[in-house]
This record gives sequence, structure tokens and C-alpha cells, in this order.
Amino acid sequence: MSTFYRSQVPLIIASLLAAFMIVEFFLDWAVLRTISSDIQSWGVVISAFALGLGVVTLTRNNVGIIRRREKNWPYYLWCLIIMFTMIGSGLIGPLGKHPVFLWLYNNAFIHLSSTMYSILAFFITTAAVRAFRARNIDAALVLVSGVFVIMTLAPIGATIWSGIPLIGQWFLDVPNMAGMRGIIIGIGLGVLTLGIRTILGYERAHLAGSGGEK
Amino acid sequence: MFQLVFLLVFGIIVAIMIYMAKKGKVPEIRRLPGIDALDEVIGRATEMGKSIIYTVGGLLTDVEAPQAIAGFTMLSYVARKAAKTNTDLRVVPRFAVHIPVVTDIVQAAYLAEGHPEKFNAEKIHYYSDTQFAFATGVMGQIARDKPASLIMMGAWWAECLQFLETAAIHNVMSVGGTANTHQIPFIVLCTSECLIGEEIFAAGAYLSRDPVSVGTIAAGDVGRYVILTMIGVGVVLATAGIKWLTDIVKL
Repeated sequence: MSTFYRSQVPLIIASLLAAFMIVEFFLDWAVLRTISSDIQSWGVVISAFALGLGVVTLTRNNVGIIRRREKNWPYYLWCLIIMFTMIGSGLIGPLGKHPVFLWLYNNAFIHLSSTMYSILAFFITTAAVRAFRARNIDAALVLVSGVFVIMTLAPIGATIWSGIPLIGQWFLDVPNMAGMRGIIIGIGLGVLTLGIRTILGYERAHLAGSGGEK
Repeated sequence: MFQLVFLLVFGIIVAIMIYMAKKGKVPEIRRLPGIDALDEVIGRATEMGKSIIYTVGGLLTDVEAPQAIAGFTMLSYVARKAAKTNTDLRVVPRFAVHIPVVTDIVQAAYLAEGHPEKFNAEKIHYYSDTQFAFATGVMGQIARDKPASLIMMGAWWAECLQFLETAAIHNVMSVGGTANTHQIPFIVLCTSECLIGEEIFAAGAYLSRDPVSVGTIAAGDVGRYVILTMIGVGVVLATAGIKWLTDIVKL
């Protein structure tokens, strides 16, 4: 495929659609709203179709590993068996109601997801232990403010001293809020400039890898 | 109405900055240690003979799309460096819809560096669109591959800390970037270098050093001064009991 089709055509389509969406945002015309809604639906449809591509990619990679008998290859085989069992049982009508699909979903998927989410509690603890070391002034400030905020949110803080929640809340409402608002304003401006660069065609590193060197 | 006026004013500022940049008045752009660290993590992987895991977060059909685009921009740079230095680069797309984009970026990078034969599609590891299935896949890959470096750019949620802590356990140097404010503290505390907030959106201009792109970054700074002025004036007016500016900017 030529560079024109790989780079220029997506750029033109993206620019036109982005410009259209901006116009639609400011003009309250029913016809524009309908077109905008359709365009957004296309995005959702494309994303849904991409899942098929995901299945193909995962299958190709796993089959390669299994064929070469690489380390831990039985796990990759197990992954494929489970994936195709879920897909197969989920597609048997009525969709998503097959007992095998429901059993796997309710007894494996939900619990595994909950387990992975729960692991965060341990990771937050280990991250806090590493972060809360007063190696320099910045780290010391993080440590002090962090202790006050934690003690504010934990009931024991107010029991130890009634001033702790006041100080902790001040950290949340004043320095934290000010910093976050500054970052959010910066993000808004950053998104605007990136959007303008993309619409004008200056941001094109994501198109056929035409990104520059530093 | 205010949004339209601000957009038009900002558009004019951008046009002026681009015009000035084209005339040769290219503004200075401050150092971004997070982007400079990309060379360091690639070099580390090259010296150690280990791999780099690069993952991009952010759905392309949602508000986090700009973060994903910024992640792709940096992937393009990392892929070219990896191709040049013959470093093993493994890319993990967050969503299936990322697969063709990252595959194209990496393939084009190897082609641009004159090593098209070294591109291997199996180095693009897709796991799942489901958050914790994806997180499990990446954590497992870090544990199995024991890469030298982890680069994660884009929109992250709970999986962010899971990746960074797994990387820390396995002595993997990590560089991260996000504009998701709820994950910024984790990125700052757990990475060697990071890009927070607007910094990830400046990556394209910073890496390419294209005068026009750098001009748009300067326009962002001018926009910041406009907002700061409005905040200052708004505070004074509100203190004096005059609310018209507050009413105008109210969304």
C-alpha cells in the first residue's frame, strides 16, 4: 500500500471528521446531531469488529508458542481452550445464556477479576512503603501530607487528636485541589493543541510510523 | 458561547505562533525528563540484552483518545530506536482496536531503519479488552520475560499500579505517562521518570522538534496566561461582588 493511502488518507478522514464534530458541538442542528451520532456509532462498530482481530492475534501468537513447545506452552493451550469455550458457548442461542457460559462467567471470570482488583490493596501498601521514605525534602513533604490524609480518612485519626482531620482536610482542599486544577487546565490545553496539530496534519507519528527523531 | 469564543481566541493564538515559527522564531521548549528517559530505558535494554515492554492505554472512541494518540507517537520513536539498536521490543495493545495501529507503527519503524526482516508480528501481544484480564496478561509477561524496561503511556486506571509494582518486584526500570489525574500519584511515585498531564501531549512536538508543532506548544503556554489572567480578574471581581465573569465562564 502506498504512503498516500497509509498516511494521507487516514489523516484527511480524521481531520474532516474532527472538524465536523467541533462544528456539530457548537451548532444545535438536528441533522448535524444525527450525522454525529452515526459517526460515533461507526467508531463503536469498528471497535467491536476489532475484537475479532484480537482473537486472531491471540490465537496466532499462542499457536506459535505451542507449536514451538516454548516454556509454559500448556498455559497458552489452556488459554485458547478457555477462550474458545467462552466464545462458543456464548454464541449458542439465546446469546450469553448457555449454562456453560454462565457457569464460567459466574464462577471463574467474576472471581478472577475481583481477585486481581483486590491485589491492588497489597500493591498500594508496598508502593506506600517505598514512597514514604523521607530521602529528601520532596519525599518528606509527601510523607507528612500522606500521613495526615490517611489519618483523616481513618477513624483513629480523630480519636488521637481532633486537629488531625482538620489538617488532613486542608491538605486535600487546598494544596491538593490547587495542584489538581492546575494539572487539569494543562491537560485541557494539551488536548486542544494536540487536536489542532492532528487536524492540521502535523501530528502524524501514529500514521504508518512516520514519527521523527529527537 | 464562552467555549466557542475561547476556542476561536485559542485558534488565533495557535495561528500566530505557527506563523512566527515558520518565519524562524521557534520558541524554546523546556526539557521533559520523561521523554529523555526513553533513550535511557532503550539503552538499558540494549546493554542488558533484554526486552522492552511497551503498552499503550486509552480507547480510541472515548475522551481518552488523545492519550492513546500520544502513546502511539512515543511508540513510533521507541520502535525506531529499538530497530536501530537491535533491541527486542514487545508491544502490548490495551484494546483490540489498537492492534492494527501498533502493528503498522512498529512495522514502519523497522522498515524506516532498514531492517524490515526483523519485524515479528508475534511481538505484538494482545491479551484482552477486559481490564483485569489485560492486567493479568501484562503482569504475567513482566514476570516471565523479565524485561529490562517497561514503558506505559496513555490512559490508565487500576492496572497502572499493578504494572508498576510488578515491574518493581522484578527490577524492571519503568517510564510512565498519563493524563488521568487519579493515576498521576502512582505514576509519579512508582516510575523512574514520568510524564504527567499535558506533558504526554507535547511528546510529538518534543520528539520531532518540528518548528510548527513546537509553535503550538507555545500557543498552549499563551493560553495558560490567558486563563491565569481570567482567574485573577475573576477572583478580584467575585470578591467585589461582581459576578458577570463567573456567569460567562459557567459551563
